[in-house]
Amino acid sequence: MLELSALTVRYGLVEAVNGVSLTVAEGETVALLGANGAGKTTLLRAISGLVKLVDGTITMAGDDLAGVAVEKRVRRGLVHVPERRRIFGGLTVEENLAVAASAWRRFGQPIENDLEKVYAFLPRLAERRSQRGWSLSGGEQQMLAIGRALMARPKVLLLDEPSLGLAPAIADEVFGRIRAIAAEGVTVLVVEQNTVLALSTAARGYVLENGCIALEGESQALLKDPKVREAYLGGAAA
Amino acid sequence: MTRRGTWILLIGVGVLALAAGLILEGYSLRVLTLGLIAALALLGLNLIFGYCGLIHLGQAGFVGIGAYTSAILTTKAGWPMVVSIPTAVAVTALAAGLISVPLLRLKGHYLALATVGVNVVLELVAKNWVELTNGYNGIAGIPRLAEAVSDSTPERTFLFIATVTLLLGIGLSARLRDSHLGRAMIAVRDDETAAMVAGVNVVRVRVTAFVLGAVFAAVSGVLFAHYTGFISPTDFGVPISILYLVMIIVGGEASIGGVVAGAVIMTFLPELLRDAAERLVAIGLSDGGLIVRLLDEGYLAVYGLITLLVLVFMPKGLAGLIHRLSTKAEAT
Ligand SMILES: Nc1ncnc2c1ncn2[C@@H]1O[C@H](COP(=O)(O)OP(=O)(O)OP(=O)(O)O)[C@@H](O)[C@H]1O
Ligand SMILES: [Mg+2]
Repeated sequence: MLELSALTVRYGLVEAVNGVSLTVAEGETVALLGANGAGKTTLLRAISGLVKLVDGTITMAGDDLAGVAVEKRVRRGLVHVPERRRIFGGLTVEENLAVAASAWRRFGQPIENDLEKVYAFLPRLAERRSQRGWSLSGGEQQMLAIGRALMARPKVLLLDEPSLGLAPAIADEVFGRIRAIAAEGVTVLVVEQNTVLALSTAARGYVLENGCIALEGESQALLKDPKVREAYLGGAAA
Repeated sequence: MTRRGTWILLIGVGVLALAAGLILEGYSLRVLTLGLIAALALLGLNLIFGYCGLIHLGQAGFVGIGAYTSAILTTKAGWPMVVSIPTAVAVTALAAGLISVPLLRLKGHYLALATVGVNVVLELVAKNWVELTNGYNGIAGIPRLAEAVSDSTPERTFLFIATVTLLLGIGLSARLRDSHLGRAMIAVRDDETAAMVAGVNVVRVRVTAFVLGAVFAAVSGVLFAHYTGFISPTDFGVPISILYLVMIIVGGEASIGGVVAGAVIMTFLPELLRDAAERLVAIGLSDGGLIVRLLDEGYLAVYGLITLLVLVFMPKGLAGLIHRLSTKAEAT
């Protein structure tokens, strides 16, 4: 469904992503792991079109995405939930959701059905629907960021550290929702620092180090890999 | 804003403006009318700056394009106002659309500086293209809208025209705020990247806000030209653009009611200050000393001071203050 080959991205002279190739099959959930500054966010930004590629190609469902604008990628169902949620503080919860229907709304379709689906799926948003974005808690903001992505009718969902800054119970709740989205057949690529949570959700994972893929494999295998254990699980966990 | 809030605002502004129009006479009536005309330009700037977050220090330039176009078409080409006014609005919108393409590639401070540049260029054109604009002398003898409607009470007639136009502008702004486009504008203001990944076409939203804002400016400009009957380049200079932005900040950005209040209060301010200065002289407290000169001529300094105080003590402007007071009242 999503295929990256030999992707390279630079910020000025800094090479943030260097020759990365990876694939995510249709309906699959894949985790992208790596230390701070490894290039995970940059890779997602490249996929959604927020940064330009120096080299390499991205294809979705066989179509090359080169030269396709960000909002056109969204319209094709490639939807990015950015790091740190980035809620629209001046808009209410419902307006945050409504504005995210931009991609397909121009065809004149009503958004009520989509809103209802999102509220049913994330009931806490329904309770807060007329509250301003800035007044939400971290967990609610993450739910809203996910709800916003759902409003765009995603086929491929890119999630950047959905558990960032959340209490463990809330992080579990968020990942529960991500699993439910994946169960509906949405293809998911999730960047996460919480390795256990990510690999228990994804079928496969990639480990990024200094902009290159250092390891890849089935989640179970990665969880047992001594290098992964040492780097991301504190080595001691049994 | 809620639908009810919009109606309250519309009725409130309408009643206040018309009541004041009946009570006020002469010069005060004129100042009120000018305040309402300024409020229209401000509603436009509110779309650009308040909703969309674009720092625009050239709004007066677009008011000027509207005013000059209609003034030239009526005085030099002999067009009737019914044709010249819509043409002027269309010309302004077109100019804004063309300028926005290179302009809106810039962001933040760079955009602010570029908009100042646009305003300066427009002012230079108005000063130097003498055959068309009469340069520094300005254009006099512009046909008056009110006289075309009623001979006996032109001042009150025009106040009525300005009030109705302003109410339309307010209604339109409120509708826009609750439309998909309005939400997209605020999304772009709050977080451009998040707006992009939410599927919003950021460039298109910015251009639309800029052009719509210019349409409001143009309407303000044609009203000004056909009310005063005389325009000159200084009516539309950079200082006026800065005042507009100040009025928005004083009123509370992105609040329609605050913006209208800010416009009217700030338009009355120099008159109030002049009045205060005259009183000081009259009761013999001062004989034209520093305070009087400051009050009479230094109103820009007073504007500056007010802006500073507002920014420090009530960053959300008048609208924020009223909101705070009303929530406090509810709580007790
Ligand atoms: N806008 C930018 N300008 C310049 N350098 C950048 C920019 N954004 C990121 N970088 C650099 O690119 C590299 C990769 O950053 P990136 O944000 O992709 O890492 P990350 O894996 O997402 O890290 P984290 O886990 O901290 O979110 C880092 O060295 C970072 O300093
Ligand atoms: Mg990151």
